[in-house]
Amino acid sequence: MFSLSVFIPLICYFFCIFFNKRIAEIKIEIVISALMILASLISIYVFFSVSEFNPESQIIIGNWLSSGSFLIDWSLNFNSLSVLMVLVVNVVSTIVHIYSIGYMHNDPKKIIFLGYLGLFTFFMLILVTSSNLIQLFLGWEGVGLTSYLLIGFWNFKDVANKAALKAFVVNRIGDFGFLLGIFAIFFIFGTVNFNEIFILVESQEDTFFKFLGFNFHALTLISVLLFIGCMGKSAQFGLHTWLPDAMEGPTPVSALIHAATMVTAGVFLLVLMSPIIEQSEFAQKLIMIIGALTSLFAASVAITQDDIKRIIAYSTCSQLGYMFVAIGCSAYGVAMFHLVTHAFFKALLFLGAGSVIHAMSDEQNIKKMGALYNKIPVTYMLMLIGTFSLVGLPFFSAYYSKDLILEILYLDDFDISIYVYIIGIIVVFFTSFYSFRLLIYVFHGESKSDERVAAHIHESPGIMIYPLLILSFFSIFSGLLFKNYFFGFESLSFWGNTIYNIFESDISYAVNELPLSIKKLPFMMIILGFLASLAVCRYLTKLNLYLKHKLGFLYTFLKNKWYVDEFYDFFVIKPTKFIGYGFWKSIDKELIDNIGPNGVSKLIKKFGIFVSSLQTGYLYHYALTIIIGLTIFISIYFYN
Amino acid sequence: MIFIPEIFLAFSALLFILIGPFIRKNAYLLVTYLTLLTVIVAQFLVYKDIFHFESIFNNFFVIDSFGSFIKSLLLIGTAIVLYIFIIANKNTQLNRIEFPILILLSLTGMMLMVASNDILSLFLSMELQSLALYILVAFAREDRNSSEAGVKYFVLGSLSTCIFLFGSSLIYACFGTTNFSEISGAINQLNEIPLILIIGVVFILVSLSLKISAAPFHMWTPDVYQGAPTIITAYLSVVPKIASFAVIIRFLVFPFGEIIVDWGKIILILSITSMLVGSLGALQQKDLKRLFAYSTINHIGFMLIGLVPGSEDGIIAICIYLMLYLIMNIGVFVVILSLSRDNISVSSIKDLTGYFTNNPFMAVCMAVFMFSMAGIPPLSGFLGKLIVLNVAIDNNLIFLAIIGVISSVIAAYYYLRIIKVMFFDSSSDELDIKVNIETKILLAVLSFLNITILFYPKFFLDLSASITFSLFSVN
Amino acid sequence: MNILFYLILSSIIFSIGLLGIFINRKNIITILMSIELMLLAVNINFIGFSNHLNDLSGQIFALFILVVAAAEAAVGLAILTIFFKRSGSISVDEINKMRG
Repeated sequence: MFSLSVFIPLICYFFCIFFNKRIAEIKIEIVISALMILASLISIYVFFSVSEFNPESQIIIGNWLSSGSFLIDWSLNFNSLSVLMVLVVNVVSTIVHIYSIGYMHNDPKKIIFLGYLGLFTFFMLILVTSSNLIQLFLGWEGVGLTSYLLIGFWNFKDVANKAALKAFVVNRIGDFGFLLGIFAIFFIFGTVNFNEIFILVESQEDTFFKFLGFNFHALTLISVLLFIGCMGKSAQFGLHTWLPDAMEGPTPVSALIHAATMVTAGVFLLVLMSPIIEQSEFAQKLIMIIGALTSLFAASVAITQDDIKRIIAYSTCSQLGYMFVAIGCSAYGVAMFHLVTHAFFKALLFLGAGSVIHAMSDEQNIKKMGALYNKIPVTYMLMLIGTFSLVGLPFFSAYYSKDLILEILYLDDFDISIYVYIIGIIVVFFTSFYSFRLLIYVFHGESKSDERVAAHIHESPGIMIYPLLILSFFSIFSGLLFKNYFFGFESLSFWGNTIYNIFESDISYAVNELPLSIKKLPFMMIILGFLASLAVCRYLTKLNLYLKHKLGFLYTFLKNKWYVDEFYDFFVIKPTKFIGYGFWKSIDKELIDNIGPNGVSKLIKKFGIFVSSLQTGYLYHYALTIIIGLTIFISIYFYN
Repeated sequence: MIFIPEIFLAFSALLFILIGPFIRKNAYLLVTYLTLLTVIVAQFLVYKDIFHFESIFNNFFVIDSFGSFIKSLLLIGTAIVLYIFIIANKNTQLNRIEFPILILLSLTGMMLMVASNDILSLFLSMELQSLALYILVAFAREDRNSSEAGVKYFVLGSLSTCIFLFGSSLIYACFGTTNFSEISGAINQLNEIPLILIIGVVFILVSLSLKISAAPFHMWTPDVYQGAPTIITAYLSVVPKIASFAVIIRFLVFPFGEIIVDWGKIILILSITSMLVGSLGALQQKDLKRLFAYSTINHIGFMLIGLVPGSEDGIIAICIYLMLYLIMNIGVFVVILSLSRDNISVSSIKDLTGYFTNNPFMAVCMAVFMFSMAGIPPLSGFLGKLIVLNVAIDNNLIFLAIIGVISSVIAAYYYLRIIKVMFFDSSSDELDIKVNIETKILLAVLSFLNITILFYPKFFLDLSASITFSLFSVN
Repeated sequence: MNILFYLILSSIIFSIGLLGIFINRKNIITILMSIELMLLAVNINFIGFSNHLNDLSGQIFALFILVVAAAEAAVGLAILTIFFKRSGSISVDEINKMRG
């Protein structure tokens, strides 16, 4: 029963691949939808049975590798952390599956698309239910692969191919860090199974790792390496460049992979490895700083972007930054809380944006939209709910999770926490600003679309709208519903000992005892952001121009995404290419190829021609050879 | 009574010569069936006493398990060749009663060779097989290449005989006897090995190397393989090779086991040159039969590695290798034999282009044999190479093992080239598709053996060990 | 008489036979004769040693060699006849259609 929740998506994948073009599309769609709904229901059941009775269960499917003490099983691990992820992944995936049926309606490769979605879901579930690092890495790479396939799904678009490649390559850098982390863990602990690692963590507290004459604190090194892996997958500052470009993929992909599930794998991994992270103050600070930097960076860039999906992508980036900040201040449960709420409202926003794009005949530039609120009212409502959740209006889901992060940050006792807190508050303002800016440009003001498009604007079909209603329900209520699982006294019984949990009573009290001014500060910032966006984008367009003029350099700086891509291009890609070209020309082609493979094969060919040329066909030559051979053999003994 | 199989074969051959002319229609076919039957019966007779040991005819011949094992390999090889002659031969010049009878006579010669315990009996039985084979190679009388191959084979074979006899006379000069057992006893009593004895052994060794076509005495092989009718090439590349190799083993290990230091060097040189010539010479070939001549030389080089240390494990390895070689090579020649265009046999590599598309079953079987010969792991050829190299490494012959590996890498090139040509090139000039079901069944069986043997190495190792035990327990 | 003389004689004859095979470029018949010569050299050896060692088996061996030599000559001539029919020549230089 438990393992079904993991394997149904795989069944979906095979179903799609085998029956594609063999039976009617509609039949496949019905079967796939039914299967995915079944998977969701099962995962809900699994979630409640684990969270109520806490029967942690590990299902061992088979032996994978055994080499000496290095034992790896194929296994599914169901504890409170993984069932939560299974729930989120399956529910969002189901909704995206159904949505895709509508969204990809006219695409000839629709069934393949659904198959890839199923495969992605399977790998994601393998990732979250793994009980060892190797299987987790398999899932990790599997989602990377399917992400590549799905971003480049419209492979007739050159940009899509490039974006897919970029996502893959940038993720390799992170994966390299992750792999090194796995090696380091195996080196230090001698095992890759989570249960065993966590038991051994205490004993390795003071281990040092000697490398090149330097002494590294082993657990810090592991934490940092794992974090580098997470930076790649979760698009943290420095390795984030692939995420906005990945928006070239179909919108359901963005919703499923680049908002709700895959990008949160980094957060999941760090939460999973919390017992190790907790041992290293340096790593925690690093995570906190990078997280804060990412959220500030992404939110500020989002202000100036015009592509509706890119704005939401940067928003995702920024929200992931929050989650890492929460991890940095040891609030692992809260990070998971934000992960869950974020999954729902960001999926909603993306799918809503997809609906808008659908209505606007594949137009993505928000400056070319406008005044859509009465033409597609349902979509408007859904987007409104998503935005309210995102900015964290009271009683919407992010209100619980995001504010909790900020409050814990405020109470945290690292010396840098207070600065990070200030950044967090500023980011709330930015978030509010760009979210409402998006809404204003898309749904209000005057219509700037050309007539042909305008005439064609229509509400999306039911198959795209109904799934969104479910998501909007979760976007509104998930904060309220799940609050107790993640924070406070009840969370202790929910988490058990699956993650490191600091919520011993006093912090819960402290959070509740915070002064009202701190409690209300984020709300103030939201209102401020809303008013600012209203002013700049709607009513005082002159102010907009004035600002652009006065703060021109800042505007271009943000517009060009802090010049990160250009920085990489100039300092990493061009020199690497230059050196690579040089090496290829001089060393590889000239030296190694000519002496190595080509040289050897040429030499052997020459020998071959020589041996063949000895075979003259003349009897007397053959006889002579025999006599010579005989003579040589005999003379060996004469000269001994 | 233990010598029954050979006597049975010889008398059958004589009987068939007598009855052949009296049959009116399709005499050759009837005689071939009878010959096949004879061979199968002889096989049972060999099995009956496989672990028996006895020396007979005044110690001229010896019956032991090693000999019986080799004999049964010879009989299996001959039986398969006769079978494919019946089912797949397209060369009508071969359809005469003499053909199966000559095969039977040469087989008798080879079986006696394997059992010989005296230089005289060895010489006579070797001549019996050689003379029959000379005729068989030149059997396609209308074909210039066949008769040219016959001349070459005859002249060089006779030269080999002369060298053999000269060597025997020198050995006779040393001991006054030509009996292996007596020589073995006499050598044990010598304080110093006389040079003339070593020269005699070298002469005989060179002559036997000619028979197994070890380089540098391989020169006749490609020409004869190419010129002979394909079915004879199939026979020639397997059965006489096994017999001559068995003779070399018996000759070197039993009477001259004491002077291994002296002949070890020669075997070492033969092994290295054979492996290199076998792998390098084939690179330029365009004719399949010629290519497999070089391939045979390469395999012979590999087998000789096992003989270099002269130890029991080496002989075990050779026995297994011989067995696998039989399965691989016969299979290849069955495929070559069934290649034809407009009912005319063809045998160049170019003719195989696009073979997979027009005859996938045959192409896949051929690919199995090719991979097996190249020694790619899931196939049985790998087992042979593995154990032989293992012997080399166990006996500190690391450089020999390295040369072996290098040569098999080079050899893999031409084996894989055939696969490439069959599977990935497209051809405009298609071969005949029709291949009869018997051929397919035979190929399926051979491919199956090639695939499965690797999974039961222990059985074959044990079998081989129990067989070679007799060779070492004599003295 | 010293055994060495027999050995030297036979070696010379054997060598002449060898030379006859690979120096001769004209005629296959010459090659057949050379082979006979070599076999006879071996016979001299066997008989000489047999006499020297006072052992009969060498002479028996020599008899067998004579028999086999006859058979071999018969087979060789037969093959030669076929070859002549096909190629119209018995020149050694003509036997090189297959090479490489």
